[in-house]
Amino acid sequence: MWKSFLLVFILGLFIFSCDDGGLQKVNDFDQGPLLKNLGNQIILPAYQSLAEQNHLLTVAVGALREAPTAASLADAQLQLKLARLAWQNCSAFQFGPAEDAGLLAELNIYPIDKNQIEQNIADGSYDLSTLSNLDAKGYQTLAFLMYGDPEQDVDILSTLTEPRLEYLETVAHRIDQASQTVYDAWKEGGGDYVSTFSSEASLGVDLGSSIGKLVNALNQDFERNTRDGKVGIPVGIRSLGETIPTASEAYFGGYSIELLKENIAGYRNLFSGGQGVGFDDYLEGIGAATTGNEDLALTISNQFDQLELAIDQIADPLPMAIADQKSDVEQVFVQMQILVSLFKVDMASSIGVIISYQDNDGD
Amino acid sequence: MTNKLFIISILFIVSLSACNDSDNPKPDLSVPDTYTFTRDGESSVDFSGQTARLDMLAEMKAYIGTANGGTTLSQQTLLDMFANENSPFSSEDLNSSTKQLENKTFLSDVEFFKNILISAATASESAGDATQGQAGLIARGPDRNILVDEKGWEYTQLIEKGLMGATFLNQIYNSYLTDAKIGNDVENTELEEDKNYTAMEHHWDEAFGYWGVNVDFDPEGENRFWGNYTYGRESVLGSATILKNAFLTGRTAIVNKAYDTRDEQAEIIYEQFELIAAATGIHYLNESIVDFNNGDQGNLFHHASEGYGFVRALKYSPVKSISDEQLNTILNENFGTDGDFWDINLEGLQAAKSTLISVYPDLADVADEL
Repeated sequence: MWKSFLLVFILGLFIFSCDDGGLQKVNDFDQGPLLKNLGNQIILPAYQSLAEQNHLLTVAVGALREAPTAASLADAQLQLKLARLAWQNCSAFQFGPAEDAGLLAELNIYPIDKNQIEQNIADGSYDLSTLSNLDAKGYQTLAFLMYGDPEQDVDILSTLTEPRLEYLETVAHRIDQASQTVYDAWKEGGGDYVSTFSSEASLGVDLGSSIGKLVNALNQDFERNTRDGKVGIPVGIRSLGETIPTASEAYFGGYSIELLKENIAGYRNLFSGGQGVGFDDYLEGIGAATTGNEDLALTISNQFDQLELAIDQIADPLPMAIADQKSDVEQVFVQMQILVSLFKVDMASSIGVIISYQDNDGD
Repeated sequence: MTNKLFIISILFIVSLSACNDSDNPKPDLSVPDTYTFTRDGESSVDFSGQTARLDMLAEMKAYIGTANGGTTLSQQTLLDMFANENSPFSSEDLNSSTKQLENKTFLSDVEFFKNILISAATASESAGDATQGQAGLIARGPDRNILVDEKGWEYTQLIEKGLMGATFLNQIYNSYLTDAKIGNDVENTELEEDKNYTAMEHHWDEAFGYWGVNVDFDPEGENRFWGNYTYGRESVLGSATILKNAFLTGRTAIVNKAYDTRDEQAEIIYEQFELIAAATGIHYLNESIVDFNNGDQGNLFHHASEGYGFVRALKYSPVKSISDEQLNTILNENFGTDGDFWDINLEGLQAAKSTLISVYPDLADVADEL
């Protein structure tokens, strides 16, 4: 009897797999050109730039370790900033190869745990792949070691002993490797995920489709990292009313708002598809409207304007902005929250993508 | 899609089974839609002992959960709740019940769970920040903490998911669905003294009671513990429907004395619970991978604790597909060295998921949706 169950099961698979064979077009919008454009003109170049910048960063950190001078330190600091700017254009794409490689976990977990870092350096042996070291690596760890605490006036160069320099290089090397792995997985001639991304099998709006993955990934990143991480938590809105300036993304380097601007520009570029087909065209193609019956693509574009205006009201360093003009920082959060709603509710439901990620599910 | 074809498969089997048993001269009882069976107009179903144990675990979990908010737990109360001694529950019905969790728990695991309970009480006394090797509290999201042990195991989850395996599933697998309880030698004609059921009927019902679903099989109704998780995977696996049909068909077959059908249904139940445990394990591995990628330690401890509990539950099946060696690798290497969650890395989580998929190929196509 069990065998016949299996037989029916297998038979069933055949029948149903035939059903699903056809090309899926949703609401008559052809996703092919959209995915080709996003994959080839937006995502792949962003990952290429990230891999290149991270490699330059690793080289600069290596040179710093070789000869710790004011010049080599300044160069490493500059390369760190350039790498972090490059990351801002990749953060929305944490699915597929990036998720497999744990890219975000390797690059940009913050706030870091200074005690854990100091402990690792003192111990001289550490496995940076483990959960216990998730907040003891990445860009912010590099910044902590290369800038020091902005509250303290320290000659940072004099603190850069060999164990610290070794830690710097180990962390930078992991960043370099992870981003290279992801770029290789995406590019043609490598893992060619860029072709998979726009292949017929990836069309549609299921959770397993490219649009399903991308819309979920960008929503999760925008909500969790852009809205909460960059602004909501430092300013206290997403941390029970208590401001945590030290939780700013570039707390040690002092350029958190600059990173935020780059990130928003990246999102805008993703939405518009750069010079090619973007989400705006998708939404227009399917006649998507807001609940108030406004043109959704236009509404989102206008909201980007509002958000950029709000960000222009504040200036680095973010902790000072929080101290001096907190309501302006809160206004940035408010504008982001409107965008979250447009992305997560209006855009996702218009396209037909189910938001499957959960923030702190019930139990 | 999978859901549909499972149902079709089941219907097909049910229809075949009906043919097999058609030589019975009496008109057979047909399979009902709800878990309702009667004799002389009165219900012949009773699983109140199982319901009581489900209630006990619910109260125990809720009590341990208060430690997440800083409450100090009493070790004595926890052990009393496990053994139902000294009236530990808020419900008088439970306190006066002769039922308990401890003596139904997989024997060689009783100490394991007692130690977790003792550890929970100790950790709750002076809970500081959790660190590797040190029990304590860790933030899970912006507005709450969870209490974890020195390995990062969340106490509420390890007890709840742990006893779902070691007690509930163990009882279904190693007691109520065995030959000793539903085999052909078990009484199925004479009624139990002062009862409206035969021994065989009652044993089947007791297995059903540990599933934790409502008798109407309403997905929105009260579905607890395994019931909750089978309906949780229903949209992907159709698992609740398969179990529903198996329990109903098997119970009907017992009434009809159609023992081949009963055995087939028992086999489906064995396989399905194992598949659900594995699928739910993959579900929480997926969540853990997301948490790891987000650098979210608190949620990772939570989800890993759940995942660990579900994978660990696989060991109670006497006919399990996964090997002891594979289980050991997942629990003691992939979930960190000796299950120390602080040592978890991304490769380990991915390896655990791959192993489960390789052992349960039915889950391969849906692994990322779980």
